[in-house]
This record gives sequence, structure tokens and C-alpha cells, in this order.
Amino acid sequence: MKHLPALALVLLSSQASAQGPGDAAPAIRFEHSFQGPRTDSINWSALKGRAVLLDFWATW
Amino acid sequence: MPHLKRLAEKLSNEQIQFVLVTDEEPAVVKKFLAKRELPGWVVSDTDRSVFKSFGIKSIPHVVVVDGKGKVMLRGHSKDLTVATLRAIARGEFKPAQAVDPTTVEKADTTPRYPGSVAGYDPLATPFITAGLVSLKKLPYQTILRLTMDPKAASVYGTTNRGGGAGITLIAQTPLRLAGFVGRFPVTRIVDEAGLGQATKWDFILARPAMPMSRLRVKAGQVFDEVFGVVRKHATIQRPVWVATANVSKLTRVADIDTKDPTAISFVPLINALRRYEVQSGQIVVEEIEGGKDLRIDTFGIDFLNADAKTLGAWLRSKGLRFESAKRPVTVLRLVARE
Repeated sequence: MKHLPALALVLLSSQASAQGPGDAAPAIRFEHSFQGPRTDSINWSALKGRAVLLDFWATW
Repeated sequence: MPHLKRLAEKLSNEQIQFVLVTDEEPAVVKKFLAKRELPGWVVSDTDRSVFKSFGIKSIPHVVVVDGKGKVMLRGHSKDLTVATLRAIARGEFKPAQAVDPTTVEKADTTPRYPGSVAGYDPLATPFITAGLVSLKKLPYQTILRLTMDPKAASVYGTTNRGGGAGITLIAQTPLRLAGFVGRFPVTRIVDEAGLGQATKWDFILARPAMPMSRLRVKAGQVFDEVFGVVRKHATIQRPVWVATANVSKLTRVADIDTKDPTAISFVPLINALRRYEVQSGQIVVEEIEGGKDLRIDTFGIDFLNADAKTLGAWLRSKGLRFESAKRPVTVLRLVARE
């Protein structure tokens, strides 16, 4: 239990890269595209002017 | 996914692109797509680079980015509405600032009660109960901001002291399980029942550590998020949950520390709840009147068969009073264990 604050700190700093409201979205690069354009056409400049809803999901 | 599909249909004329991101192997995704129709683009991030850069720790999770590439909101897709997404698509959306306990309110360690916070009666704030969750899969990685109180395991009733935004989780649980409940930072964990090594949460009680108005959310939202987060990460052994709302006053002297009326023991409530099994469904009580006293006592009622009137009478008989006549009160359906 003693080292928990340290753990919390580590997690806190690792979380710092997570984008919150107002932050610029990080670059996106996907390995596979099943529906929609090819992966090399899915990036922020191609999507400029359009809002994007990224839904992180899984088939299970 | 049906919700996303509906949203996509309703937003078909707007400048918004749905991108469904999984980290699964192409064969798995293709097999899935052969059976199911999904809205928007479907891609796989098999090296998890996008998951990582967006800080996705659990799924499902949505991030909505505006036309300028700025993150507007993140959360659970079920919370998304057509209106919100349309506003984002049209550049009319103002992202809410996350409530940050380190900036919203500097730690204020002076005792604030009685009566030093205008308009805030902690006893009148909703607390939220969720039941019967196995902890085995709870997300340790979601620990973000955690105010560790080494004495917390043996001290209860300090839950509203010290300021800070957020939700206080009072759980029968290892102390290290903490973190964010949805968007709401948990600022302190109190292992009230003193069972720090428990592997199950029998109950989770969450209560805002500051006025709901300042959190700019409604009790129902908090509940949804508590539920949502727990549901995502834990095995739910019984289907239903509950929010109780606005318990207004404690009058049993033994329950109150007069120097700090927030020092209420939840142990009797936890113990009382433990005698019941959570069943499906919920009762929404539109109006309950009368009764001033609150005594957290045994729940001697079959909620399954109780209508609003019966429940109201029962609450009154228990000295429970729900403060708002208009606000719906959702109560667990509980039945006594055999």
C-alpha cells in the first residue's frame, strides 16, 4: 500500500498524453481499412473541415 | 452500435465522419462485418498506435474531433446526441472543461460544517448505490487522481471534508481502486467497511464531494457514469443498480458528529443493503412527501412489488424523506435474500 502514491503519479503522468477537450487530436494512422477509403487517405488533412467521431470498439 | 447507427442516419447531411476503430486482426473484423452492418468507416489499429495516442484505456469509448482537428468531447457513445454532434459538425460546440480537483477548488482543509458553504447541504445531495459487482476486472489503469488518506481505512465520515471537486466513492473495496468515474474524478476513497482485501464490491456508494450544481451535472448523469464505468470493467452478477436521491436529513443523534454533520456512517446502509438481492428494473417515484427524519435503517420492503404509494409510505415509516417533490427518485428493486 505504501508505494501506491508513486503508482498514482506514474499513471497520472502517463495519462498526460491523453487528449482532452480543446486539445489538438494526435495523428491517426491505421493499418487496415475495411469500410471507407484506403488507410493512407485517412488522416486529419484529408478530413479537414469535417468533424470526426472516433468510436473505439471491439467485435466481442 | 444501434445507437451509433441511428446517429449516423440522422446526421447524414452533416459534415461529420464516423470512424470505427478496433485493434483486432483483419480476419476477425471481416468476419464480423459479414454479419453486421456498421455505420461509417471501419478501420483497424492493430499496432494500437491510435489507441495509445488517444489514451484509450477501455472500450467502448468515443472521441469526437471538430473540423479543425480539436478534440471536443470524449466518453461513452450512448451519451452522444444528434444535437451535440450536429453542433460539433457545424463548429458551434463549446467543449466543457473537465472538472479538475486540483484547479477547480484548492484543497480547503478547514472544516466547513456546519453551515459554512452557502446553499450546500451535503445530506441533501444524492448518493448513488450500485450493487453486486465483482472486482476482478476493475481497471487499475484508470487511476488518475487519487487522494490517498492513509487513515481512510479506519476513518469514515471524512468524505466531504477538504473541498475538491468530484465524487466520493465509498466502497467496500481495496483502497487502491479509485480513479475516475466517467468524467468525475474520485478524490478520495474510503474503505468504510474496513474490508480492504475484499475481492467483491457488494455495493458502491458514490456521493459528490461538492454541490451538484458546481459539477454541472445531474445526479442521473453521475449515476449513469458510475454504472457505465463499472459495467465496462466489472462482471455484474446482478443486473440492476440504483440511484437514490436527496436524502435530506439525519436525525439520529448517534449518526451525527455535531462538529461535522457530514460524518455519516454508511455502514448501516451497506449492511442493510447487503441483506437484499438486486433484481431487475427500477421504480421511479414521482412524488414523495412528508417525513422529516432520516434514519438509515433496514430496508424492510419488497421493492419488486411496491408501487410509488407503497414505497412512499414505507419511506415515511422509515423516516426517509426525499426532498424534491418533482424530481424522480429511482430506487433499487431489492428483495430479501433467502
